[in-house]
Amino acid sequence: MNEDKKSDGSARGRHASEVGEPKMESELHDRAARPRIDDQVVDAIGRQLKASYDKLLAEPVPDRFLELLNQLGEKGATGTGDRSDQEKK
Amino acid sequence: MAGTTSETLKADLIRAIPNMRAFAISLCGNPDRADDLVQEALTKAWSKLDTFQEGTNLKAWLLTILRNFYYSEFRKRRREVADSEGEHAARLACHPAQHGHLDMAEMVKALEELSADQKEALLLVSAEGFSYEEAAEICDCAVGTIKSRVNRARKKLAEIMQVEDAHEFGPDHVSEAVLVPPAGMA
Repeated sequence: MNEDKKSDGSARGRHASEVGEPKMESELHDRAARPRIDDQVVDAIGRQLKASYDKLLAEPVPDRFLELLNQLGEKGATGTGDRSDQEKK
Repeated sequence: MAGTTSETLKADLIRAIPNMRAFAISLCGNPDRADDLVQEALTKAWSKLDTFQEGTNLKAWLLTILRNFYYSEFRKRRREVADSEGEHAARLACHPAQHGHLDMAEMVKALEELSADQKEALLLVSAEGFSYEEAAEICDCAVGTIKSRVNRARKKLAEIMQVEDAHEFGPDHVSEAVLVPPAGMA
């Protein structure tokens, strides 16, 4: 058993040296991805959310809202929006 | 005099509209409904503009009104929302000529997996950039509650996105395997 393990280990060691970096990287990647969500991933998600959200923020304001504010402004002083609504009807 | 005040306020309101829209879209996922929500919230805000304390954060005040309106409306139309939940992201992706919407569609799909509490906390802190204290005031809850909601939301989102990433990375693993020559051939 002990010998098995040893030969297994040394074989793997040889593989790694023959195979070079790609395999090592993919092993590392697997190990990092599996057990738990690490801080880097959580940070990356935060940045992704912010980036997507910022694109929404950069969209031009639709005219309907500018028109709405103009309409509300024409109705006069603040705080009487509801009442002037009824008066118009 | 009231005129100049309302002109300044109007300019401030206009500046805050993109934030109201982005928050509304992220909250409810449906761009058409989001703009209706913004319209209602703006009208409501205007009608009680006299209760706004100048010098305080107008954006926070507006998002509070929008959020409260969303939840009262949301409760009224809960059944309708439950029925169409899965369609939100799809509709968002199809929305014409709105690149921001398109980009956010993927994110909104993931956000829908979060609870409403977690989602709004995350949006306010991570996307809008409010402090925990400001977010707590907007959501009318304790600062500690906001912190833990944001943490749980981030982790949950990371879990969801990581599962998606695993699929995206699939081909990369394959190409890596191809690049690695079999041991016997080296």
